[in-house]
Amino acid sequence: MHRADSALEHLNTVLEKCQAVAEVGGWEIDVLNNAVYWTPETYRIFETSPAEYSPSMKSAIQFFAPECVPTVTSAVRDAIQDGKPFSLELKLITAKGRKIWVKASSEIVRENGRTTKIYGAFQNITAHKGAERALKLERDFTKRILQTIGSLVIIMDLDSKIVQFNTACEVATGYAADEVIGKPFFEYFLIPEQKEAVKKVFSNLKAGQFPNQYENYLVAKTGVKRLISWSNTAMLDDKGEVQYVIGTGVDITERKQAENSLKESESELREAQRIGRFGSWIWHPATDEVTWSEECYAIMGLNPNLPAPNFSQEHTRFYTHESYTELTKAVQKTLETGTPYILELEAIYPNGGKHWITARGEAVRDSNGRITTFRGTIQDINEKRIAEQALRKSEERFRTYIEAMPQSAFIADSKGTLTYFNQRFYDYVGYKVKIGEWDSRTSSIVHPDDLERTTKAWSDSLLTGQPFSIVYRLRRRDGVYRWHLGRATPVRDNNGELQEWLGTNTDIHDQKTIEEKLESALRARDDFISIASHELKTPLSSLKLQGQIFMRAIKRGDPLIYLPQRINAMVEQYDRQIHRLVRLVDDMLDVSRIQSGKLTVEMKPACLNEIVSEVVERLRPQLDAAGASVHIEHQGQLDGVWDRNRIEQVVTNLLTNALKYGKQKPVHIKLEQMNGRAILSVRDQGIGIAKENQASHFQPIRTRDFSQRSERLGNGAFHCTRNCRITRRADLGRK
Amino acid sequence: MERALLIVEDDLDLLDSLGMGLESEGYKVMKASNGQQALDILINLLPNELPACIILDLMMPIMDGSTFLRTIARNHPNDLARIPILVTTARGSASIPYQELPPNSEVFRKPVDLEQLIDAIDRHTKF
Repeated sequence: MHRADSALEHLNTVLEKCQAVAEVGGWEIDVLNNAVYWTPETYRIFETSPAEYSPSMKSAIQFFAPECVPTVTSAVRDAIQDGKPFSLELKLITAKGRKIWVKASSEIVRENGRTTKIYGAFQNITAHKGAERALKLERDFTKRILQTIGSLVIIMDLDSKIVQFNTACEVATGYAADEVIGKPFFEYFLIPEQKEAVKKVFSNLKAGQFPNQYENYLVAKTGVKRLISWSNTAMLDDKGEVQYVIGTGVDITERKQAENSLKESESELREAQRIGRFGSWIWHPATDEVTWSEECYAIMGLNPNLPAPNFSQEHTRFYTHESYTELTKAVQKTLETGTPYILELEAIYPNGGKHWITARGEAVRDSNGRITTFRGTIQDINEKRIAEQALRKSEERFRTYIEAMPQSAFIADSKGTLTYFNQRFYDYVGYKVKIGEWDSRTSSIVHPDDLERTTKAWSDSLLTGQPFSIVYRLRRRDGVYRWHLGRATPVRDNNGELQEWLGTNTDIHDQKTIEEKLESALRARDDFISIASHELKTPLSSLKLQGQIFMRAIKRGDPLIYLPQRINAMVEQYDRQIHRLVRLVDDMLDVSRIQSGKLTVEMKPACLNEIVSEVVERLRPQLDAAGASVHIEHQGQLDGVWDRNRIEQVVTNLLTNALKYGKQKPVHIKLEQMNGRAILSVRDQGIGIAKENQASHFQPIRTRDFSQRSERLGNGAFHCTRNCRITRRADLGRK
Repeated sequence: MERALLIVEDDLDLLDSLGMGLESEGYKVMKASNGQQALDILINLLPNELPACIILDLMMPIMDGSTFLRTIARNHPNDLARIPILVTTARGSASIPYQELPPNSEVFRKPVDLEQLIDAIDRHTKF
């Protein structure tokens, strides 16, 4: 028995040691006796001793943290009533007030369907619980980071199945993590062309080649491609074998696009500079450092591989002296005032050739407002300059030409506003015509009768763009209107747009007058021929009639025709008609002689009174037949030196005229002497001569208006003017 | 019965010649040296004294042939305007104003052929 006791005691000691090492305390609830037993290790866990505390069901429960008390109570009740064991992790407060975690587990002893005893153990799990919490914290932390960082994080197992797919991945791809976790990465996100390459990267990672970098496209759910720059690594297991592959990616789509567009815009700028022949530069006045764009070198004819020449010294050789002076002055002013400059400078190529550039510069200030940098451009304007010079020259030539031309000239803009008159125009009109709108004063230059059609033609041309052409009268400085040919041609640019009108006025007055005279002369000639033939036909008619009358009488056997007085009358008639014919032919010859200035006169002394009397006597039979009487009034003898024939011709013409138009009323002939001149007037009382015809009456040929007083073959009156001075006092409508 | 004619011609020689020629053919001849004179003569005649025919020059002073024709057409359409007109003219055919001549007229260009003129007078005075 002693040996048995000793063995039991030993066993207890071992158990106790084991409990201490494992930090596991035992306990027993004797349900029947309502007693609780603790092992020493339990006391230690609760930081008390049998001396200080004797456990009971009720008091033991009070050690647990208040939130655990209901759990413990309910577990113990269940164990007692239903025999249900428990295993709980519970928070308790030791006798010394320390908070610790314990694991309470139980084993139930039942007899006759009733729980009699509950054995249990307390294990101090505080340390374990702390580690577990720390781990959870870390997990949560990692998870939060993964979900919040902007980078894409994908974790895959060795079969490329997705294990982790963070929020950034969801945003970038449009897939939810749930949709893709467990699915193979290669099936979802790659464009076919890159699949093999990415697989290769994955294999390398599996084979231990990590970390590595790679850029590839990720295809989103919508089909949109995003360019991702990946940093890849692997996670190893305990044996150092690759367990997971971790890819951390940054969406560089926008950045790449920006990079590309930057590259593009840089290249565009370069192109633009090349095409536009302008280069840009930067200059730091403090260090005299200069940076040139490629085109600057090209414009200045320098090797682009050389450093840009500094401003203060090397630039002198790039410009003519005048241009360099101008440039340095402008730069100095900009340095002082900050105002930008634009200059046209004559630059010199290294080979000595000269060319023109536009130089622009402006100052750049730092945050303190100090000028630290200059920047600007130079532009090759040589072609433009040459073109401008050529244009200027051509314009000068044009102006010179316009000024030198014999016509008056003007320029009007596309709307018809007058912008220029040449000097000849001003000289013609006699005053400085105002440039600008066509006003009433300008209008007064045009003859009032021509103004309306001129205005209309000009408006029509402005409207249609068709050339303007008009014959009109323009007032000269002395008030005389002269005929002009006005013309204006539209000047168009290369696109056919009407730019301005170039107009000229050619003085065609003399030409037009000559034309009119010629026309009038031609008309007069036709009239002359017509009247001459008419005049000739009259005596011919008489002659023909006389002949026919006699022939008919002879045929009839009319003896009366042979009577001497009939034959006499016939011969006289014949003689008169022949005389008339001769006179007509002579008159016609005289007309052409007078006009060509070849009429000769034979001057001899004679008495005018006698000449007039003789003519009257000669015309007596006609005067008698017409029933007209002639009265001659004279104051003594008018002796002079005359061409008798011409004077006779004049008097005959005046008298026969008076006979024809005198309405058979008396004709008065008056002879006077005044200041050594003889005045012969013949006055009838007929219809007179219309006022408007008086001027032309004594011209060689006139109208065919036979109802008015005008002569058939006007030579008679014309003779009068050529041979004598004629004063007209004839009025139509005279009684 | 003697047939009467009126000759209107401003050239007195021609007027005389024509008058003489036609008188010797047996006509009673009245003479006027312009349209106005002719009109003066005609309006003073009794209906049975009116000429059977008027020989009319066109170009005359005071009143020309065309005006004469217009005047009788307007003022005397029922008597004077019905008298046949034999127009004598020195004008070329192109300038004869046919549109001014009445239907009962005939044109003779100068110098006038007496035979043709007498034929025409006979034709127009038959009725």
